[in-house]
Amino acid sequence: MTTILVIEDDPQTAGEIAAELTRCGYAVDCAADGPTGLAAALAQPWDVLVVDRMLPGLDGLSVIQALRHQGVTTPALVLSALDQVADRITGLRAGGDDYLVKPFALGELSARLEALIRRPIGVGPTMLHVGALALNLVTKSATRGGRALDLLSRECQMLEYLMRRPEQVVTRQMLLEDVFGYRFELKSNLVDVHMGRLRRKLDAPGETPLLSTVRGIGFVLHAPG
Amino acid sequence: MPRAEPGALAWGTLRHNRSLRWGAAVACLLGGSLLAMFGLMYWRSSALLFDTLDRSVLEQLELLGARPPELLPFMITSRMKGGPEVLTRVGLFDPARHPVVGDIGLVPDGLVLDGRVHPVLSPDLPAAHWRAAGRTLPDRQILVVARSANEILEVRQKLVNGAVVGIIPAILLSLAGGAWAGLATERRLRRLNAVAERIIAGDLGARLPARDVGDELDRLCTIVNRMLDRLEEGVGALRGVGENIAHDIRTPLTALRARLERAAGRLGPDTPDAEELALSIGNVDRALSIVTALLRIADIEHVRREAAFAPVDLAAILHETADSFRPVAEEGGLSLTATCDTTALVIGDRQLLVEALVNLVDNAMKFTPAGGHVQLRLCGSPTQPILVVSDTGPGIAPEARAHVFDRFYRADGARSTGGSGLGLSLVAAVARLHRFGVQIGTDTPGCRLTLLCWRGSDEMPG
Repeated sequence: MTTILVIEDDPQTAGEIAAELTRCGYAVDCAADGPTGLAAALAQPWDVLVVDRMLPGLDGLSVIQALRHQGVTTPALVLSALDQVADRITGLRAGGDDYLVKPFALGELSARLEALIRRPIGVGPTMLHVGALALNLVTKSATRGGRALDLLSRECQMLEYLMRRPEQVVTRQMLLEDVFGYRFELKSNLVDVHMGRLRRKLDAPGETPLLSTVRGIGFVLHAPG
Repeated sequence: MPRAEPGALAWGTLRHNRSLRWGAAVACLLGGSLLAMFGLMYWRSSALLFDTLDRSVLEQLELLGARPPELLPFMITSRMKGGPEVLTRVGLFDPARHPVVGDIGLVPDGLVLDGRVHPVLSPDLPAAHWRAAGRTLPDRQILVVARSANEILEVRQKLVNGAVVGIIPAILLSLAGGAWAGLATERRLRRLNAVAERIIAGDLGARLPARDVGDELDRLCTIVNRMLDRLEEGVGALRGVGENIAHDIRTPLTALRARLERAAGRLGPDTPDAEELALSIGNVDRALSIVTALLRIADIEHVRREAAFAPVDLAAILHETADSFRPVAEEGGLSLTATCDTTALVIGDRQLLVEALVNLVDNAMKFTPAGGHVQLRLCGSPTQPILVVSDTGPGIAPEARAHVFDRFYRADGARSTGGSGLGLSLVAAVARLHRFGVQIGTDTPGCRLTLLCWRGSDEMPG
């Protein structure tokens, strides 16, 4: 069973996070301050850590730095009430693997944790294959079952992002941040419009839909067969 | 206003330099007083010397004139033979002015025989300048006593030479001193200006150079520095408040939002209560997005961010943004085009410039009805690039244009189709950080927002 350690000082937030993650099928443990959290993180191997940035005793970034210093490479998601670009950069530089600003949708949290646990398919291969889909990363040409897909560059980037995370929820925010590079709030249906176009290009009439929408959260690329 | 490079001191600025003018004034004053002092000395000393000389001439005249006439030739010759008074000459002439005895061959021209001393120029005498006095004796003979004034003239010449050697260098020195002081002040002011520019650009940690020894300028710098300390403290405190607000609001909202979301999840989709909850979550998000946007603007405005500045290819971000938003525009029945008339690399924060451009495009699309057109354009020159986002929407009334960059301002009901009303404030904040000018105008019909993308263009008349 996948184990998650949540280091968060606000008992209500910690409780809600733990309840949601338990519901998703993870084994969750909580620590309420920095030193306790650090001790718990060192005490046993975890699959992923959720660390609040502002903690009593020892702040979240120091906890992560201490862990990295001791050679613990467990992926860590930093939760923060600070969302300035500089804060995010320091958060990631301290050894955090992802950064999520409070408050967040629970779906966003679990999608990002899932992404951290599964780690995307690396940058090594020049060809990505998911089911009948194939993407040549050099020529940026994609095919579905041999049928060439005519993709625009943004669509191609989105498809690559999805193909590196097959059968995994990818949120709108993840796409905005990682594909478009927009680390700011945007009230626009930008992602949905691009996703709609990509979907129409992927699925010819009569073919099994490969992209499905997870209501209120994001999208999943399926890899049938 | 163009600024000269530091070090290249233009004459134009020097002419208006107060210290330099003071230096020149002091030099003139010093020169004048030295000249006056010298003149007085010259006048007094030559008067004294002439006085002494004249008295000795008169004494001789008195002395000889009082002798019996028959002894006079003898006395004159004996005086000539043994006397040390080689500087004094005496001549005795008969009534027809023929020399009788003495070492003056001729009664000097123009000498009034009134027993007083007169200056005389006589080619007959070996030196040119003489002081002479003459009188007619009771036996009608003429007695003349003369004495060379050359010594006095020499002394006077030496005085003049001394003055030339002394006063002119003194004047030049004080002029040079004034100029040096002026240039030094000019250079200091330049340094102060440079620091002040940095502070205006948002580097509140910069301080004016002040020495402890302290002239007035140093004291002023110290005071300004203390003021800056207080200001920095205040801004720091404000930032702290911002962070605390962020933390204090976001933490409970996180718990609240999670609870609502889980409750909605338990109820299952498509139940009326779940929809109610989804609405509440939406409201929480909306409230929070306003706080987020405000804090973000404050962050851009008050926290030094020039550290993230690097060359940014404006044409590239223009095309990227257009590629990202063209499908959205087409979905809304709009067309969106991007044209670049120039290439432009500007020094800036790429993330923020993209954010500003996205806000401009998003804003333009929001207010343009279906069938309309949104245009992104990069024009101007590589050194003075101009970004223009124009649309065919209803435009903004002239009286409202000044306010569109105000926080929360929305032109009117027709224009408020959602959003926090902070998009253009953010654009303005990003522009201020880069010291770019923002202009708002009209394309008939429609609205045109212009970003002047070079440092200092914010000082241009809007």
